[in-house]
Amino acid sequence: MKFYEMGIVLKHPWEQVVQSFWQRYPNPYSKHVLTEDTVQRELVSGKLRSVRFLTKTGQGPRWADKFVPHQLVGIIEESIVDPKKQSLTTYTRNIGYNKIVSITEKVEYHQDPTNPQQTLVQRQAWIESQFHIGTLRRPIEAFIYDRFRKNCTKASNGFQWVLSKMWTKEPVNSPVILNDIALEAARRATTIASHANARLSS
Amino acid sequence: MNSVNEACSQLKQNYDACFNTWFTEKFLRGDHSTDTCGPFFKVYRECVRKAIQEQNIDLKEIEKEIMGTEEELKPPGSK
Repeated sequence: MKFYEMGIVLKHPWEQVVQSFWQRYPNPYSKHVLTEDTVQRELVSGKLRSVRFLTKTGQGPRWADKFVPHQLVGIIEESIVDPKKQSLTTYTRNIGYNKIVSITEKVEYHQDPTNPQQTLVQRQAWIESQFHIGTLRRPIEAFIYDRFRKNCTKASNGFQWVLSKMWTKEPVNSPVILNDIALEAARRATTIASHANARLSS
Repeated sequence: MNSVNEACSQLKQNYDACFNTWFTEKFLRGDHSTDTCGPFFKVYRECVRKAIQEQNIDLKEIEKEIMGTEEELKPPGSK
């Protein structure tokens, strides 16, 4: 199993980010995303829970072609919007293709406690192969991990593109990638903010 | 964005338009009482569920709740 973590800052308030979240496809960086559907949506104690089903083209390594009958990957995206805490959390996993590799991704979007005009995005991902040929599991994980890192940048650029298009007339900025120290600071700030919120609401 | 089945795309567009307005004008403003998009969602959802089943994808697998349950993955080293 391989674990991946990255933080970025979006230069838009949380309210804009959540509105754009539902409208982030299509964008010029998302040509691999073919379809998008909402299969469930409900309000649970003031929070909005949604399940969306997406299909994407899966470009595996060449040598994997003979093991993979079809290259279409189904993705399930669970999400919860909490307007009180100003958070959006998504949990995404693939189906169908997961006999070869499962990619699970959790992304949290919080208002930046130090600047309400910005949103902190924390992304975590787990990549695990259960492939029936044991010796191929690690190479599969390594390949997917590498591609996943590149695709994260693409996904962030795509989302930033949509944000700029919806909310600004300025040219598109790339999101700022946080280094480890800033990420840790952002995480602490978020924890402090959520404690403060919890105290306020209790 | 397209639906998984072209036949559902118009229903999806109608629902998405309703939802996006509701999300901005009601939900984010704290008004959670009215679900004006329910009728749009009902017909659209039926169409999508049928389309997904026709592709031999298990709906139960899609609708299984994992986030916030025991099955949710945790970062290495956390408890």
